[in-house]
Amino acid sequence: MIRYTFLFLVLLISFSQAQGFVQTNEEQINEPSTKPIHGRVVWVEDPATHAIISWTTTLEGSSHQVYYDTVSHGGDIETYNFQERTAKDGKLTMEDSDLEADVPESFYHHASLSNLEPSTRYYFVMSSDDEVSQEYYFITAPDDDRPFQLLWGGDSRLGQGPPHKQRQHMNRKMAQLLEDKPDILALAHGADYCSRAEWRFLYHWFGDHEQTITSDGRMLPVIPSRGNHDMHIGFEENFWIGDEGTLTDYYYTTQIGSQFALITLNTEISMTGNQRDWLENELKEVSPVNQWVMAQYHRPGFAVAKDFDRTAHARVRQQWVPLFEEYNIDLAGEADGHILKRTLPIRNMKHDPTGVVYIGEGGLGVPQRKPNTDLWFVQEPGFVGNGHHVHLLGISKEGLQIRAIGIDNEILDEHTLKPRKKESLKVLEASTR
Amino acid sequence: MIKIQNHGEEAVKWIIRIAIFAQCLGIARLAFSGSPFGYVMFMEWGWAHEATVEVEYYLGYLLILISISILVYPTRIVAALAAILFFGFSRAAMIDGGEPFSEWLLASHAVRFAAPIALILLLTPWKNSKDEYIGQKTVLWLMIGGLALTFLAHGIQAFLLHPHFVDYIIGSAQTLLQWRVDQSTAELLLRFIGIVDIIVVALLLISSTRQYAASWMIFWGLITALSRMTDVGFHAYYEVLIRFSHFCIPLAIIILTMLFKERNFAEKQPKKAEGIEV
Repeated sequence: MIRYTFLFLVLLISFSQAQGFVQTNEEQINEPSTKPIHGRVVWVEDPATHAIISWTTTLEGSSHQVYYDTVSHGGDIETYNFQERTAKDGKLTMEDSDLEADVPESFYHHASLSNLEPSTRYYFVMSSDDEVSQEYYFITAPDDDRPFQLLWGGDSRLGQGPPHKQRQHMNRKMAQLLEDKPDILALAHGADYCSRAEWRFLYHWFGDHEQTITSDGRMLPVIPSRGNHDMHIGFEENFWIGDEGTLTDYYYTTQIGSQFALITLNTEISMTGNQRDWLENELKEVSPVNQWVMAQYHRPGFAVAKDFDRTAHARVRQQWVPLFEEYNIDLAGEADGHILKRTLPIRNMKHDPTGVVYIGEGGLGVPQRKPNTDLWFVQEPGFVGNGHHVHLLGISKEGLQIRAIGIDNEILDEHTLKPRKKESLKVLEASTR
Repeated sequence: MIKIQNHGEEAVKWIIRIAIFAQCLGIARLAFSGSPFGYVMFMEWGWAHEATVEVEYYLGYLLILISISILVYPTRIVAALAAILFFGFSRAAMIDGGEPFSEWLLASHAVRFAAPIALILLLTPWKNSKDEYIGQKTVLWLMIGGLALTFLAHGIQAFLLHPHFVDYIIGSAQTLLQWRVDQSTAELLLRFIGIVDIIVVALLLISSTRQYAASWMIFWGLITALSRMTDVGFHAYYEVLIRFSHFCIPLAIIILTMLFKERNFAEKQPKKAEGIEV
């Protein structure tokens, strides 16, 4: 019997070693070079005056900088008025599986551009040693109350290897939206970029992300949050947003214009400790002075596809939702479930027109689940469905328009939030007149 | 003495059966609402969501049948099925990732699949008392090994400030004591808990201190399992069920260790008597 038990154990261990899920890279890997690839713009707290430009090289190089200006110079680095050396560079961590997947050893570079002008087009090139990228541009956020639009979405991962056709399709869709609606400023990402934040996955994610660039070279800045599949070191290496305060834990507030604050939270660290205290203080500060306050985070408090009672979901409801309600935020973007939802406005776990609306659950290319349509909080006039999508948020004094745009450009859901009456805003407006 | 031995072995079997029963129900509850099995089928294997839901339902019902069988009529095949499903559950959770320290899951969950393997051995009809002795020794060391791995993994994770553990402390203190523990206090406590866990594992491996270590593990395994509920509420009961092995197995270890002591004592008695006669 001991022999059979031993055999049984050996079989179990063999199963544990089984790897049926290794990705293979079908793309041709070019010769290592310092040519900048995977260019992207990341917004953090003050996108009217600050942006991070990040890129990858497959050789380490020794000199990395961004040349930028408010007018185009077509990539001639001698003529740009501004130059910024990278603030952070390093070798990307490679797991054994990354080496097996045949993605190149690579290096990350992050340059932090400060003292930018609001609502201004910035043209830039990324330079590593003698190699220079083509010229791209992005537009900084406004610092006034002009209307603007924002893309919000989550979950752009697949379990299997590349190509990630649906993700690429959604990225091209976002580039098209950006071309059609130039007042779109950025993409706030509700996280889960890849199955794991390891290079064999992220390499392709960044490659696919280049498809969000418009034909005239406009980049869509990303406001990142961190999800449960983004917990490896590769996320920190690739999505560096700063080394100060709460930024290293990926929770922060992005002020876009004078009337919209986006609070990014992190469901993958303690939700009840410092982050909760920070959230309360932050809401005390931003809620009275912004017409619109939105939160984004990965794991949903009001889960429609996954178990509503799961600990992480319950914790969002117990620790954060009461604060959302106390400080009257307008909208929360949740991901992770791989469906499409818009809840009824919720307060005290009941439908209440004064409550908070929760949208999302992720559709930037991830396979879609079948949602639970019986849940009380997605009944009409709420919405539940599935399908790849991105939310287009139109933000103005008059209202916050929410549109879920499907992969074939169809509007899957549409709803407008009316502005809350805030006495503090009236006082503020009067005092600034 | 033989009667005590039999009662003791029966008690060990029952404790392990209860642990497996609870674990099956806990995982079945997860299977009905979305478990790592489903995530792997859906995300890694690319199955349609409807198909994964259906398979998970079948798995859920299978686990319920296994749980009933383990209580009413345990067989080695059923215990082996439970072991495979528990192991598959941990392996699937590991493949899916998406939780802190998910690479450690086989170690963190070791006691959970050690339990049904131990039951397989205990249900085996041995040819002679020597084989039975070796079988029971194997059971003892299987349980000690599984428990040690589980506590060691949890201890290191606590020392490294597993974010969920931080929240269990803060959440439970809030629920039970209406006391808001700040994160730095919770983290200090976690470091201490981590060190204690590692020390207790070392004591478990030493035969002279095994009983004390296992006694602490019953208490601590129960407290930490219950903390899943005291943190967020009764609806997390399935998290407690899944962790029944964490406090049942140390109890089984204590009883089995006592049985070995009694057996050794019993074996020595006639020799002593013979010695007196001589």
